[in-house]
Amino acid sequence: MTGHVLVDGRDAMTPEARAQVGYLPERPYFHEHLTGKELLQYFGKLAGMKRAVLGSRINQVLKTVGMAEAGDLELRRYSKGMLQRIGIAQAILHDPEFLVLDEPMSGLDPMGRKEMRELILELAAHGRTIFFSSHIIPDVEAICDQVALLQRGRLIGCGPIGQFLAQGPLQTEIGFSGVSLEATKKMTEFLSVREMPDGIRATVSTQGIVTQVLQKLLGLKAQILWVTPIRPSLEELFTKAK
Amino acid sequence: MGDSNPAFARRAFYESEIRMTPVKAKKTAAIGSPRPSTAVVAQAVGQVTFWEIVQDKVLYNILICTVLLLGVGVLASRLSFVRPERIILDFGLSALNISCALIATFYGASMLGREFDRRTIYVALARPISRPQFVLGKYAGLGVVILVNWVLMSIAYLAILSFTGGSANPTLIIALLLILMQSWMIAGIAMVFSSISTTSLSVMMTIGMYLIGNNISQIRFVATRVRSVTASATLNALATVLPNLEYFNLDTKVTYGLPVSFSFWMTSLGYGAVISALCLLSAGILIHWKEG
Repeated sequence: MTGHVLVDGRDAMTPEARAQVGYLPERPYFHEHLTGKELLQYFGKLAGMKRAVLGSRINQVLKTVGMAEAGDLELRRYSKGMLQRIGIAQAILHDPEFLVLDEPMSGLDPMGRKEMRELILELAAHGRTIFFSSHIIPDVEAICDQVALLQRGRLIGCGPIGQFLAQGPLQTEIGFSGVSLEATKKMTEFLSVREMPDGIRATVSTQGIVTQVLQKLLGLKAQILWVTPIRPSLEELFTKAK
Repeated sequence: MGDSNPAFARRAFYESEIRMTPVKAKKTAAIGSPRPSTAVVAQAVGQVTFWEIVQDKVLYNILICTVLLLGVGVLASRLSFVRPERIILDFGLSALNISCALIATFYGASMLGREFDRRTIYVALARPISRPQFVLGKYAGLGVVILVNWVLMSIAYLAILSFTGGSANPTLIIALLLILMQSWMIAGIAMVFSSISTTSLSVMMTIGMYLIGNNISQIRFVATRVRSVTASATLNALATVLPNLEYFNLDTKVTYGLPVSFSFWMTSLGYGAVISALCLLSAGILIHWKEG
């Protein structure tokens, strides 16, 4: 795959462009003999940060990534999640306008993933443009405003995420109890019916018939537990595009 | 491309570039500098490299071997009836030479390869620094390790020499200085190999270069003896192009305390500095090429 990368109108290889970019690689490996603070000092100096600014900025970013207590610990003692966090810290240290995060959630446990997602959203809320690369499509769906889908090195789609999610049929799931499974199966409006311990879960194909189905169920003395619209996920769209 | 997604299909063959529009991008500049000075980069990279090497076990194995060699020299001198201080002089100088050369070879050869293997180089080069700046920093860190080793071993060597009745003449001091410069030069050569090859191959090529470099006069001698004009010209060309480490070897001059001209050792130091600079420049260019 060939191409040309511009950052804010400048060639990405120029120092001016790289000064505006923070980068977190997939599976970040840093020099293990350094402490968190020493690592940030190293990358701060490489970014040309002044010594006077660097000390206070290091404390600030460590706090931002929730690592204020671990700054003096050697990196060889860090867990996978802590390494990802210190990786984010070095990426945002020089306050870049653009962040490139390559699989920032790989190898993290569910709690770590949640915290990382919140951190990324917080960074975005503070005005940074984040280039987030991931194979985990639900993560992309939860974080990104704009997406570019790549398959075997080819771009198969690019644009605002809403543009993709608005595609495909919008179904509605209705959960209810107080009606037997046999009676439910006789209702032709349902696409699928599944029995649960505390009731029945059924889907209808279009939103237009939801009111009609609900009225019918209420007529059968059903107790409505929930009504949830189900939009197609980015993952489904990606799978269909294959 | 699924037919159910016409938006994908439309874009699939016409999108030639990804334009990610900054949604909420700030208009303020980053707080770093777009061009950090070479001195700052070299100091930062050098410091990390220095501590990385100092914490490595291989370094201490080399140091132990050097101390053992110095000890063997003392023992060997006890077995000799004629001028035992000369044995200590020769053994010690060789031990120091081998020690500095081994550190330069092993760490110089593994330095850049390790950065690529562990992917640490990519995060560093994402900063606004150039490849030659980074290579210079790595070299500076290794250079300081060699310097510290040289200082410590020289002190130990000179102490042993004075305890056993020897003395440090000016030729010996010059020989020590030339060993330091030679080691810095070997480190530069090893880094060139490291930028294009694996660690083990780089070590072998550096050792090969060390052996050839210390026998340049032999190559020239062979060139005078071969009958083929082409072979002779090739050997002479090689002897000219390859780094000549004989400039750093005072041999019997040290043993017998013979004077060394100021111009000789200054030329040797200058030669070493120029070759080292060329090696660093080449390594900087080569890692740029390797990345591409």
